[in-house]
Amino acid sequence: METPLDPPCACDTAQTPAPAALHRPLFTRAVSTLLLLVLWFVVYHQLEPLSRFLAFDLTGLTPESRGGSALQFFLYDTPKVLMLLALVIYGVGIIRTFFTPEKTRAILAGKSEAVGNVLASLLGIVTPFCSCSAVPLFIGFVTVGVPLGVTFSFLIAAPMVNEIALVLLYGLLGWKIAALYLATGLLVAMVAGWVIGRLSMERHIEGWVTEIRTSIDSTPDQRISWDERFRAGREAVIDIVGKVWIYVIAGIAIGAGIHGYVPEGFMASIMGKSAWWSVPVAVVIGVPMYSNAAGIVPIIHALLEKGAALGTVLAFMMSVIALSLPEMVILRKVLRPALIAVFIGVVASGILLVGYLFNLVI
Amino acid sequence: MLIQVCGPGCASCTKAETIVKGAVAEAGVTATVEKVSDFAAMAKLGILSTPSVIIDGQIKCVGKVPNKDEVLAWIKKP
Repeated sequence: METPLDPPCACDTAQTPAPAALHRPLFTRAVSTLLLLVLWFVVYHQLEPLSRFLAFDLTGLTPESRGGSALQFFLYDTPKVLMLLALVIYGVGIIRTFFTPEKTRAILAGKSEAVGNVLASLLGIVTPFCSCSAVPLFIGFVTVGVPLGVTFSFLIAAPMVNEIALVLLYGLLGWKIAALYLATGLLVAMVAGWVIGRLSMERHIEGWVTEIRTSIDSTPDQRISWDERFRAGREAVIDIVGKVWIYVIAGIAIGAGIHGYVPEGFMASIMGKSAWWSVPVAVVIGVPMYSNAAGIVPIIHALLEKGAALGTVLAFMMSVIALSLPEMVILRKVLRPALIAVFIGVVASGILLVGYLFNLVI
Repeated sequence: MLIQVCGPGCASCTKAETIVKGAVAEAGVTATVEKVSDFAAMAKLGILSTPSVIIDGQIKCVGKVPNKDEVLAWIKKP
């Protein structure tokens, strides 16, 4: 779950709200959650008609006009995306209470490499992870015997395949593209991690890390009640949506502008399929950039509409999210430059391949 | 009572420290609040994600900023 540009850390800075609702019976909690879900669906299906009403009937603009179509795009997508985000973050927030870095570590320790790469990538999606925890997590993993490559699979999957990116892709581009991003993101994480493991770069971990001795039992298991799980879901929504909503709106506004005002096919010349160099350029530009998915996806949606090729655009998005300068700076504390270079190189290559593949196939 | 707040120095870890100090002051308990920013020390304490709060060697919270009421509850427990 990654956010703003300035602090390298993406952890929430909002204080977790004090527990207002006391321990309600599980039944009441379940029923009220169900009712809210129903309400959510009803409102969700009214969004498009409502946006057309507001954008065209009230203002007198037509769907064919630039202003009209931009406005309708904005009025439909903004509440749609925010509602989707709230729903998915709530659900994922609850799911994440079942997974902790400690449990993940226990599962991965001692697994053979290929199996480990697959598991680590999958666990990276559901284990709560914040980029400033990258170092403690890295140390914690390698010192109990999780292979280096497997640890990297986790570190690649966790930021890249996050629920915000998936929800936004689904909401703005449809489930097929969201599923493709999920599948290729996992693939890149698994293969890149495996490749790094094969390169036997353990010597390039900073010396002081390998001198630490830790044991898996050092952290006690924290028992969580269902009430706390629901609370975790609520807090996740308040924290994350509270941080990204402004980026979502800004991104959708820019997307709406592109949607309404940029001519069709405009992007085809620079980001289209025929520009073979567009994929590497997209990756090169994306790698040092760091942004959250919330701001990037709406822009990507609009670019695609105007003729940019899917592979180029996905490659750009993955490079922005998966690799970032702040993250490399943090990892420098535990990894020697050669290993960081390999990390960036392998992941960037994977993304490059995905980009080309998509441009060829789709 | 020794309270250790673990974090590399990012905004939320600093916030956790502030909250802990505030709770200690409010509870009127004698406690030393120590900020652990060194990764090696954190690893030895078994911390995998930050921010984290450890009281007298017991890990109380991992990976999130605790709210003041939670900290007060931990401090006041005998």
